[in-house]
Amino acid sequence: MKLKYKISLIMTLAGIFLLTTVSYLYSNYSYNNVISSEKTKLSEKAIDSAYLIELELGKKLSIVKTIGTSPLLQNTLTKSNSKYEALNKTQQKDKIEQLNNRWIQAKNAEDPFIKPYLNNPLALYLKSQQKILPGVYGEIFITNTYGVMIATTGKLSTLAHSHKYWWKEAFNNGKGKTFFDDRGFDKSVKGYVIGVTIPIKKDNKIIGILKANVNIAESLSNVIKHYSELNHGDLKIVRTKGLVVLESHKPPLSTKVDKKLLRPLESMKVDSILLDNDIVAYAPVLLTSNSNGICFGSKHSKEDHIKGNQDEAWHIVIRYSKDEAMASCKELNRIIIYVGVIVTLLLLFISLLIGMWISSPINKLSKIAYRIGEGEHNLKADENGNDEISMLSKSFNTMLTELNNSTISIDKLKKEVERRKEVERNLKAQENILISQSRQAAMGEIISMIAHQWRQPLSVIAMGANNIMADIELDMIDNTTLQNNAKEILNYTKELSKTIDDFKNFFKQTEETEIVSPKDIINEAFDIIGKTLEDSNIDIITHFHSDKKIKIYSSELKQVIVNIINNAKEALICKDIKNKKIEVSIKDNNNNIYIDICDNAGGVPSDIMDKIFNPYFSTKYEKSGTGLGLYMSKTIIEKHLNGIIEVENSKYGACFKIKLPCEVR
Amino acid sequence: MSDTLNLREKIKGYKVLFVDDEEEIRKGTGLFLSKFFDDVIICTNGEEGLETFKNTQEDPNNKNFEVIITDIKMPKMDGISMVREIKDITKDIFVVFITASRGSEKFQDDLSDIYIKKPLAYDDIILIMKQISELK
Repeated sequence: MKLKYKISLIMTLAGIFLLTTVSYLYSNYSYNNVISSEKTKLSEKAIDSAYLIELELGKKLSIVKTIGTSPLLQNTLTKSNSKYEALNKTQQKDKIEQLNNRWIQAKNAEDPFIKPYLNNPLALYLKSQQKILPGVYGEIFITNTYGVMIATTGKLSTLAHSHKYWWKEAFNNGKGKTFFDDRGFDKSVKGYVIGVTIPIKKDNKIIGILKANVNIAESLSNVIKHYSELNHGDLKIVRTKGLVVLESHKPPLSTKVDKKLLRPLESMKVDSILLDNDIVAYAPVLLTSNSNGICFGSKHSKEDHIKGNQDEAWHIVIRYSKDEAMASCKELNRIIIYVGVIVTLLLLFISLLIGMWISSPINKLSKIAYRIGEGEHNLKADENGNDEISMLSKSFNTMLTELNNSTISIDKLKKEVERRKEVERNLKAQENILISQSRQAAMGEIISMIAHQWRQPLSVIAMGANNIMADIELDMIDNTTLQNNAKEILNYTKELSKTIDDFKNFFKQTEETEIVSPKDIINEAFDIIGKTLEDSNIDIITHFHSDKKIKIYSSELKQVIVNIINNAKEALICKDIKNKKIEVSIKDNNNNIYIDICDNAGGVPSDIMDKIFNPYFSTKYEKSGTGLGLYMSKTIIEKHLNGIIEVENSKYGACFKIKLPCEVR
Repeated sequence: MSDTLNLREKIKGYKVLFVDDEEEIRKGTGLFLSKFFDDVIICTNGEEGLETFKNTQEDPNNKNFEVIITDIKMPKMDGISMVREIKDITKDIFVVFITASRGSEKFQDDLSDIYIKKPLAYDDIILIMKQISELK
């Protein structure tokens, strides 16, 4: 993968990671925030609504209380009570029973017995009060302190009420208290009716009980309506045991809340919880919690009072969907994600640019490295800038320079090696030329040798011919003598021919090695130089202790031996040595052949000892010397025949010692 | 009668000492000389030649040598040394030096009457014979 893609991939991944983290953290944060603030808000709303309901209930109570303060009501009650006060308990009971029975027997409101209760001044007063808020108040009626009804706005089922629970609650054994009778849904008024029951007191003594049935359906639904108009969520008025008193769009007391809410409701606290996918806030309506001397509830369920209160309080329960609470927050989240995606794409593009920007010098460098690899050694990397890549370029260039230098030096080395090889080849060729040159240089001596060699046979031949000539001229010719002379001439011409062959062989360049005995080579050398030595009165002494054959370029070795012996001869003659001697010996040892050639000419002067093998070095003794003889001898022995040649002085003269391997490689 | 025969007649009486160290030469040259001279004494080196000369000189019964033909380069005593000794004894002698053709030997004009080069050419020998024939 190219570097720029790597960089952009890394940056993109980093961007996505960052984005995901941020949006996750944000949504988490906003979720918690939104939920908790929503919970608080809903709790507060629940309290507000509970308070509104309290206000409604309180308003109803205060109206009823106002009615109870009427002097007409007080006076009427006082009169009615006084009728019963004079009687004993039994009489009271009988009278009340009698009246009650009479009341129950009366079928309608036009009954003369009932009519006075509905039309007396107090009843009229109550009716007038009833009319002030039409549809709100149901029956309003008053009993005296004995439970006997004395005035009512409508026909009631009974006249005696002291046995009824609401009456007993309000009477409270003579102490008296306000009692809200949560009777439930009243079919007759198609409303939710609360019986507000208060004791009427005079001189701190209960003189009667006033009860007003109040339809609070509208008030309650107003609270709900008011809430839903201004707030979100679903507000319900609920009894402690879960029965819904009122909610939107449903009949009262027709549903129950989730069982999970019962325990929180029983705690009578203000709070909010998460329930399923909803936020649920709840708050008790304090007026309904049986405190402050106000009693709330009902113990009975009658046909017209569906599902009566069982000592329960009322609660405000607001239920709000979490999703809805989060909706605005989610919208924000979505925006964040959109923005994030755009930012990521932007990041991808930017990181691609950055990747190209970062990788372009590296690319350049790598291209240059590739081209250098292809052989363009004179390229340089761009060193501009002071970042790591330009540092890399600098070190790359340094490396390149060194590489170039070393390449150059290798090239130089190769050239040098080539040059030396060439020199060596030239040297070898030159040596070969020198060898043949030295042989040619020795030509003068050789001719002299030939002259020596031929002198005797030529003389003999000449004398043979002379004798024939003489015989002819002296008339002494006879066939036998003639034949003998001719034979002698022929014999000696053969000798001449042999000499020619010897020298021809000497000059012949042998290309191949031959297997020969060193003894034979030395004898052949003597064939060439022997007569010269003989003519110079030089004795030859040979000690041939080895007959081992060696593989060698024989003519070259012969040349060396002739050369050394000739040098010895020259020295012997020039120094005018008496009893001139040359000794030649052959030995072998460990696959080596040792040839020693010694003379008695006094030896090589020590000052020239180490120069005699140098080229063009010549002594005064060598009249016809070229100065090449010994140099060539050394060259031949050491370079061509892989041997060693040394010179040392013996007691009598110079000793040349040649060591040769039995086989030339 | 041919010239050569006449020449032989003139010179055959001379006593000749021939000295050469090489046998083959001695043989051939000796044979040749004996065709012209009746009395040819052959020696193998200077020493022997000198001895023979002295002996002949001292012996009154023996005829003295009149011609010496000698090689120069010889073992023991070379031809020049021998002739120098002989000349000390008598100047009345005809000396022929046979030289090896290398020219290394110095011509000893006071010692020799004639030099002849090896190998000996027939005409040269005849010329020497003629010079000898004119000695007397």
